[in-house]
Amino acid sequence: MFKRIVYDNWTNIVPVLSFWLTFGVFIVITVRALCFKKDFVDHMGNLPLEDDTPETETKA
Amino acid sequence: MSTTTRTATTTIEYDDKSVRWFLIASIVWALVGLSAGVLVASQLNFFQMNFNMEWLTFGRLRPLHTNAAIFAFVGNMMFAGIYYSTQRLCRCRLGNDLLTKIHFFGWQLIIVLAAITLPLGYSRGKEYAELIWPINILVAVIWLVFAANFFWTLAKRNEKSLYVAIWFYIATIVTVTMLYVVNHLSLPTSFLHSYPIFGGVQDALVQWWYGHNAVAFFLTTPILGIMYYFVPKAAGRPVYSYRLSVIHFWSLVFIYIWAGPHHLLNTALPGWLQTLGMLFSLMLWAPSWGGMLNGLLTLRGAWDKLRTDPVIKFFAAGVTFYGMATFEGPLMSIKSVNALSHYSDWTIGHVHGGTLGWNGFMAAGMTYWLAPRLWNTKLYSQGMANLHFWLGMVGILLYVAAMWVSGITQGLMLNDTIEQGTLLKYPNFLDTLQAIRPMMLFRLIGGGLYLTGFFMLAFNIYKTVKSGSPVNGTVEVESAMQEMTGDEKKFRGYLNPPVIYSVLILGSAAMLIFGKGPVFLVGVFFTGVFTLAAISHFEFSGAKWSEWYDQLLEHGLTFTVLTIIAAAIGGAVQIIPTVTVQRASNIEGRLQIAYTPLELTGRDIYVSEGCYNCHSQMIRTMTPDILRYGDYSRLGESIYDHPFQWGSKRTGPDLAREGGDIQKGAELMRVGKRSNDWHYLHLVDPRQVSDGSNMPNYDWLQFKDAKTGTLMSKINAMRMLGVPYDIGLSEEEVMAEYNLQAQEIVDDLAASGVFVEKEKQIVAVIAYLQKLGAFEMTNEKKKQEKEEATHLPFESVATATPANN
Repeated sequence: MFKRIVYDNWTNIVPVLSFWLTFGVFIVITVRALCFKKDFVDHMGNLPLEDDTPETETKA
Repeated sequence: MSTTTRTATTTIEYDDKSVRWFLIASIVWALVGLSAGVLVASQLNFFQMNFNMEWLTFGRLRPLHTNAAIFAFVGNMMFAGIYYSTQRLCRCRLGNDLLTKIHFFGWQLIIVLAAITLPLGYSRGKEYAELIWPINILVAVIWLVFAANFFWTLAKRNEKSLYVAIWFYIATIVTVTMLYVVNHLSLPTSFLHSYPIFGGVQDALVQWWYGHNAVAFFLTTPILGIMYYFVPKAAGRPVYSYRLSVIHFWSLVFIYIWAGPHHLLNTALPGWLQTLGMLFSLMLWAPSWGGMLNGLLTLRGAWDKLRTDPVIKFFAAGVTFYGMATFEGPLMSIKSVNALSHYSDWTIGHVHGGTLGWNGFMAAGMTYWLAPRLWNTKLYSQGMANLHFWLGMVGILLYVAAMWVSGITQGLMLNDTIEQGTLLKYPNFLDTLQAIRPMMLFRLIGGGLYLTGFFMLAFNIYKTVKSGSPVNGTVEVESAMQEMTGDEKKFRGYLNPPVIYSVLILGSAAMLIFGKGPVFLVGVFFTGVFTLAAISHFEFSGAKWSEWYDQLLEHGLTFTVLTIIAAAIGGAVQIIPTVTVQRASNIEGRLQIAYTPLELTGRDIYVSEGCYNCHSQMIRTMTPDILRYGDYSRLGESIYDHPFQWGSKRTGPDLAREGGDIQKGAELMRVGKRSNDWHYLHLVDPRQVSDGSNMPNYDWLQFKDAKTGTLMSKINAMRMLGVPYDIGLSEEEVMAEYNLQAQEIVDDLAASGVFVEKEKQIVAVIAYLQKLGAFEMTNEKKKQEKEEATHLPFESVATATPANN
């Protein structure tokens, strides 16, 4: 349809590239997440609950 | 490395006043947006509900409903949740009180302006991006105020690490900024009107890159952040897996942005983009369900609360609806499934499963949890909240199930063929409309139940507020501020090896990909050198590199930049080639014929009335579409359409080939599938010519004059955008052409016994409708066909010449 570039040819490689790109991102992040230290994970996971402890309220 | 430590104890009072404001605004706008939804649902079944008033037609109110639901209801709820949780996760007050006030009042002003301008017919004609350009600028300014306030809060926080909820908020802020700005780039023609700078396929791609990701980054990521904060609070236990939340975040942010083209499957969009959209949508299953399971499993051990606590009920159901919607979305993105579901009510059911179930229920859960704490009291009635839950649940199920049945029924009927696929089984579109009317009624009932539930929420919260008094949370902070010096400061900033290498490798890779000749060679060389240098540095630096990611959790700006990169890659890969290459000058084959001044005026009225909400202008590459509407739409046939009008829903039939040739004896007047007087009668009262139609009457079009005062400005804007209007065209010439064509149509109508003045809007709209689908063949194509013909002695060039120009 176009003079210079027929992108439809990309259909052959787009699925493979999509998969490897996503797979790569997923693996890197998963490996990194699995390498978190337990203390760090516990601390981060409890952050929403920690703010309960010292909080008080004042009249607005 | 050396560090110094100072310890201080301070009492910080949170700014919960603004949280209360946003929460109340959210409830008020929920009632407005949901009521508008019920009204427009009733209009689809009972055309009388349009009240024969131009300000209340479906075409004008549907954008009001969607904008109110997304930006007013969910927007305010999101700001309340973000401001409440961010202060507590950062253990500090919001960045700046004045910015918070500007944010709140600015956002409400935007909503009020939208509520005024949309019913008046001021629209850009792009879904969820209808607001006119002055409001667009206001939105951008207020959003930046929000961003500044948010990042200011992060900057003065007393908690080193950034919890995952804050990551989702950061992704929301940066990505919505990017999406909103790009999709709203416009060329103003007056204070109230503009044309999008992208046209045709470019506009379609940019619009659905925005539209899809508005769902992703306005309706999903902030609510996921809210889920990661409020579900653990309500359950009284930490998130099921913090590791999974990290994987959820990065996978979602990276993948979501690529999926936009799944809104344009089987259309004239290039095939590789359709493939990308479909594949990334399917791959979204993994992170979406990872996040959904993480949310649900956070309730482990707290399931007993499900029986009594309405907050947990709403959260559990909301997260489940997130799972359902994110299962259904990828399913509908499979090209063959999409052939059935697209342009049908199935899409409407899918969208409402997400908004009513995920957004609405999460909003209700958060509101019931927050209100007693913000007003230091108990919830007025747990029983009423529980009843709200069940009313809402039944309402959603009725709504969604009805739309599934409606969409699949109409989709199957529209695609059904006989005689070995050569004839349509239901050639009359209205037959398929009548078949789904009962389902449209169930939708109305379901929506009504859901709305009733929200009225109960409003009453419950009103009584709760009345019984308590507003309080602000405070926190005693022992801030052990680690003042960084030397290497550590450098490492946490931008001048650290990982960031530098990333920038250098990306820069040289860009030269490699986009460059030619020497630039390409330089790109190859430096990509290799920097990659090797990075690997070598990694090997020698040891443990420091493994700490890099952890540093991101403490350095908001670096984290934000990486989020922008992750979210921007998908958009850049899809949009840049489309914008740079798919222009009119590169088209081979069918090229749209530019609109005459009268047709352009008619088109602006068509856009202003929101006709695109019900009529598509895109015949898909599917046999039933072609049998019903004509030859499939080519990419070049809408290349000058600013905005594109491919549509997303066919409540009425497609109009891409509604127009026709210039009539014998006429200079400009065209007549297509139907005569001028048919269009006249159809616009004034559709049921005169289409028995059973649910289209509103547009009888004011015959009484109101078309505005021609800014016509010259519009043509100049179009010319600047690449539409081939003559440069030397004077206003007199434009108006002469306008009047000539209008007079020809008026004379033709008079011959049929219909009398109307040529200045009226209806004449311009008829001219536009009769132009739809007009194209010419490009010179290159003609030449190519001629050359081919010399090698094919038995075929004539004439056979390839369209009869439609």
